[in-house]
Amino acid sequence: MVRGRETAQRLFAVEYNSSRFEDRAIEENAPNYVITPLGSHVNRLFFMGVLMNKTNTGTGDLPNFKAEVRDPTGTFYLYAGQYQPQPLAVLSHLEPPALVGVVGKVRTFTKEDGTFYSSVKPESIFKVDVPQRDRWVLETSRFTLERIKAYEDVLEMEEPSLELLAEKGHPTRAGECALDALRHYGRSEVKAYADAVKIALMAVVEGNGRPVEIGNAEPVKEDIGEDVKATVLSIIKELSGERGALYRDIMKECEARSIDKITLEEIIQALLDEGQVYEPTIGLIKSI
Amino acid sequence: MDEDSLAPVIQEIKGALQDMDEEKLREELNKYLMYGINLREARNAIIRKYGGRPNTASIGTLDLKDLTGAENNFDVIVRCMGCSERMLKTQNGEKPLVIGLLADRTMIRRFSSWEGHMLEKGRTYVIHGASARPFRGEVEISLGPYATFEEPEEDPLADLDVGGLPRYGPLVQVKLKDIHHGMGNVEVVGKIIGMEEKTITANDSPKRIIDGMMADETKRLRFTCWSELPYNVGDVIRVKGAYVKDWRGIPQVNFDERAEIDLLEDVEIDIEGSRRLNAEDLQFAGATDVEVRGVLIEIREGSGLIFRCPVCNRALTSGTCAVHSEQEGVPDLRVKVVIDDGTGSLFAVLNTEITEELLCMDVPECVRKYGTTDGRELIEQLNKRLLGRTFVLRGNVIKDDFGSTMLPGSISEDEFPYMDEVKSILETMEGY
Repeated sequence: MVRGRETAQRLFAVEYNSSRFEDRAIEENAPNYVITPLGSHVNRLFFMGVLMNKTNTGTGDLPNFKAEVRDPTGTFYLYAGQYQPQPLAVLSHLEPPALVGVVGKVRTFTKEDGTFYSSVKPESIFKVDVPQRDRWVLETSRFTLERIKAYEDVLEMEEPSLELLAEKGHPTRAGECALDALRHYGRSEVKAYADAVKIALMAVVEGNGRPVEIGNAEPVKEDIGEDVKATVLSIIKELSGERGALYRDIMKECEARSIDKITLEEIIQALLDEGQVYEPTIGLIKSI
Repeated sequence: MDEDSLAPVIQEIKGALQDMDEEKLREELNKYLMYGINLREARNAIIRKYGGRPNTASIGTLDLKDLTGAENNFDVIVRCMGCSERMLKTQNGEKPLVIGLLADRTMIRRFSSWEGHMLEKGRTYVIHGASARPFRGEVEISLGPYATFEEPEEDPLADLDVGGLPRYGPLVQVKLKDIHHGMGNVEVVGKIIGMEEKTITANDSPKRIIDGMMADETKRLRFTCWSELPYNVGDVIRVKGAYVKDWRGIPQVNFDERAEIDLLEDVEIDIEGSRRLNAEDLQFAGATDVEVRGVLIEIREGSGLIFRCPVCNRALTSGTCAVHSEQEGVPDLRVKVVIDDGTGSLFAVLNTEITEELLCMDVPECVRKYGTTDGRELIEQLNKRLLGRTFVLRGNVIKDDFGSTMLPGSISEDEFPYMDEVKSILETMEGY
């Protein structure tokens, strides 16, 4: 049996980056999947956003690009090497900021302490315009809401099953996600993802055809306030070991003080922009 | 284990061996069972121990309806309802495969044989040494090298009426989008959206058939009715006991006088959406004249300006045809793409006309401009023009081992307005 081509999943950065599990292939040539908190099995993904920066970490003969693409909810981290010729060619010419679309495969890294990072190995990168990006946001919102709604219904069920979910009108693909979300993550809060959808759709409405990106044009929304920023900075200092503080730990600490993930992302982005903190490696934040 | 359930097994063992004492066998069998060995393995071990071949021990005569797909070496008393031979390509070259249908008093099932066991249609056989195996979700009878055939003088199935028998597999109710190749016995409800009478040649004699299209909410499919169909275009019918045939991966619904066909007078089906499908609905079955809306996410190798073999029309590789060796190629344009709508993906091959339109350039102009280049510049153009854009493609979808491929007759960029929908979703999210 020939395996079908992997579907390019539509999902926002906040859902992808919050993933903590993966389904690693044992069989040769079988695909790896990142399992997101809403239960998506992601092997290939497709997103659009602003290319924020790019760094060539390779040499002249062997370029190696690290890049960040920001959607309205968070940042996708891209790594392109010699086996990704098309993305390499595009990245070497394209100057950030630029609105791009990316099709890529999952790339994961688990640290010794078990912290899990998901980034992207791009297959192709291309310039897009604002209406294209807006349509992607709409499509991705639809798929995300579909998963949220199925998951919420699963939480209500005593013995959830695909049949029961189908009776409630959920498409099979969303039902499968919901059951997997429960299996891997247990009962968890989905508000962050509903908020992400809202923020993304709002960005489309407010941008009204302009490429407004929260992380780009306005690093920190005014209503976040300096005191929250100071709190986050002190949390980072508190948690910092020799190499910095783990993003996950910062997130946990912030959750405890009811600072949500998206606000946190924005604040850290702002702190990075202001040069108050830096990111020695992905997932580590260190204060200056 | 109680003695009664051992008795048939002991008979089987006895049948496979010569001159064995029944009591001794019972003792042996109990010994194995005491060690926790299961009955089947114990049976085989004993047969082997006394020099027999466990596989030659028949487990008796079985009814077709009782088969689960795991039985080996049983007998059946069946009538052959049809049988044909075809050549199959395998790793070791071509091999003939005989396939056909068998009926007993309980049901109709498929059989296959790699040993060239041709059976005569309409004749009744006692078959020894048959085995059953699962095949495409059904149970199929396999006639291997050890199968032997008897033709009884007096036909024990002389009065068998196959018309009322269930076909292989239980009757399953399906929506048209879920129909795929190999389904044996389905119940569908659909609206006839087109039909015509045809005369074809079947078994060397002319036969009148009805060829048509039916649709439900989910899909539209070709159908062939091999008997009378006293209904009209626009009627909603229910067919119980249809079977599925397949042409280039596109399933077609078939039925004949054995099926139960009813007119559903009070049922209205909304077939408005039956043409627009999700890519996920095309992963396992092709379709005729459908629309898919998706993002073009990849342009594949073999796209752009190509040269075709003047003899067979195949694309040449460095001026060479796979069949007709070196040739003066005929230039052509095509784009092989991947369309992905988030539910699934499919390949599509954009033909000459569509490609010319997308490039705003015809083949001769393209040859003038790019004929002597390596074509990369042209691909770059296509990438810029197509990648990441949403298209609606309309055409046929064929399906083979490598996935589903659409051959669109037309394609248009879908610049759908989105602001209204964005706002209305936001309104529904007030509660979050």
